[in-house]
Amino acid sequence: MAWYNEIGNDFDTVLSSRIRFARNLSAYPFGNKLKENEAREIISAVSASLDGKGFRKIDFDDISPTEAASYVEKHFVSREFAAKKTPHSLLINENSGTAIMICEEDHIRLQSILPGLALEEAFKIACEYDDILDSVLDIAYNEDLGYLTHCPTNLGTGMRASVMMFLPALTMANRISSLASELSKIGLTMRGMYGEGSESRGCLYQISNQITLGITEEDTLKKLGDVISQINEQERKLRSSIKGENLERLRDKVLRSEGILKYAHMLSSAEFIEHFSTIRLGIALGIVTDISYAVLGDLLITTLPAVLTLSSGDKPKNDAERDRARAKLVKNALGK
Amino acid sequence: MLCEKCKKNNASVFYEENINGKKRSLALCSECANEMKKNGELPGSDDIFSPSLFASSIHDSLFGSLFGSPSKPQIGAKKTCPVCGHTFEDFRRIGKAGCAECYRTFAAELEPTIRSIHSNAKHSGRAPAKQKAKHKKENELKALRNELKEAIAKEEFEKAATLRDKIRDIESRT
Repeated sequence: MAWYNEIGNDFDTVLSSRIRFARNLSAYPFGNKLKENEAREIISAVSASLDGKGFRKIDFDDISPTEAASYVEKHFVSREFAAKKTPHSLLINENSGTAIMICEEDHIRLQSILPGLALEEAFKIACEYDDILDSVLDIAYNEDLGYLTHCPTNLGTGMRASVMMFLPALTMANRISSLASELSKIGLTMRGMYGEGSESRGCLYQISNQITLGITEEDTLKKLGDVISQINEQERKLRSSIKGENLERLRDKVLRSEGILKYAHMLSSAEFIEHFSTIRLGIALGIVTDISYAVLGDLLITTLPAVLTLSSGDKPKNDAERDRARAKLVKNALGK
Repeated sequence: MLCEKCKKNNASVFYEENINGKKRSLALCSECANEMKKNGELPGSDDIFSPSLFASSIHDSLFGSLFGSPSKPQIGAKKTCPVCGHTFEDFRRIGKAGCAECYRTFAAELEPTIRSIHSNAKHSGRAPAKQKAKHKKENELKALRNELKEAIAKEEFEKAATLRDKIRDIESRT
């Protein structure tokens, strides 16, 4: 089980909650000033400090580009991390939803990711491992600027808390850009599902804190949590206002999407995500009853190109083969 | 702090420039900053003051504008970090530190930028356990030294002697 195929709190609007800490070792330089042997020293020191805590270590030098991309698709590592040419490793503990990137932009990027709205719980887990690292390693910190990070935008707590939301009604009502600009005024950011620079896909948005210095972790979580519950309220209100002829039209759209996912012979990633979001809204409104959030959530990740390629027996070699493999996977999962 | 223009909203955009030694600084709310930019009273690209929904990073553009363009003279540009050899010019160019020591080396030069990113320049929140112990020790010593000063001023020498021993004891602890 993983964050994407389990059910969590407020699951009609929130897919997952994530806490990320940026940490560095005071004895080593940052970024491209870090030499290969130093990067390896950091990797062994960090891995050793978490020995016996249920982490699996993956050296990214030893895995194929497809395997590396599959960890990006599962949100366990960043794209930048997967693409790095210098030594970098991942420590992963699937049970607690914890992934630690070693030698990303910062020496340590510790993240805890849980299904649904669970910021406090994810924070607790991240702190638990952060305390272990801190007891063994000499972490770069100063009293004024807090945790010292490669980029000044992460100074202070080094914490990025983010919530992945599903907002189809606000999207249809063209309310996303005004919401995004309101959020930016209070130090929060809204982005498309796959982080910086990507477009919103499937009405999935990531909302996170921008400011990390001068505000405690608890206050950041409270601020973000309050905003999330306000957005939840707006989204649910809009959803329940769909009535009469509009509801009939939506019902038609949802059932057509269900038909396509259950019977298509070829499915592109973009097409899947479009129907995913329509059906997910259908589940929330009670239109769809034979598909669960968990099955749909699992497909959101398992239909992505790299994860799909790795899981298919006859490794698809091109887009057309992948589109057939994707359609087959979806059809099977939805019971057709 | 309030916007210097409308004096109503909280300032969220901090603008500083230094052209040939002539300094100018402004604290504005985003509305006034946008308006001034539109009227050509402030330089900068469009994405500086109006972060779009999917802008790669508002801070990338903030950095460029706040440190000024490379052609403008920069105070302290040649200053070098003794640990990693990063110059302030390097920091300005890539927008990132070379090592932890850079933050101490360039503390003065970085302060306005850090403040403009976070609207704050003083950390509050978690700290490594060793640091917490160090802070505790420093605070304890500070309090005792003040007490000692007071005791001496009041000519309470017996109390002063006890305090002095206590301070020595704490200082000798590692």
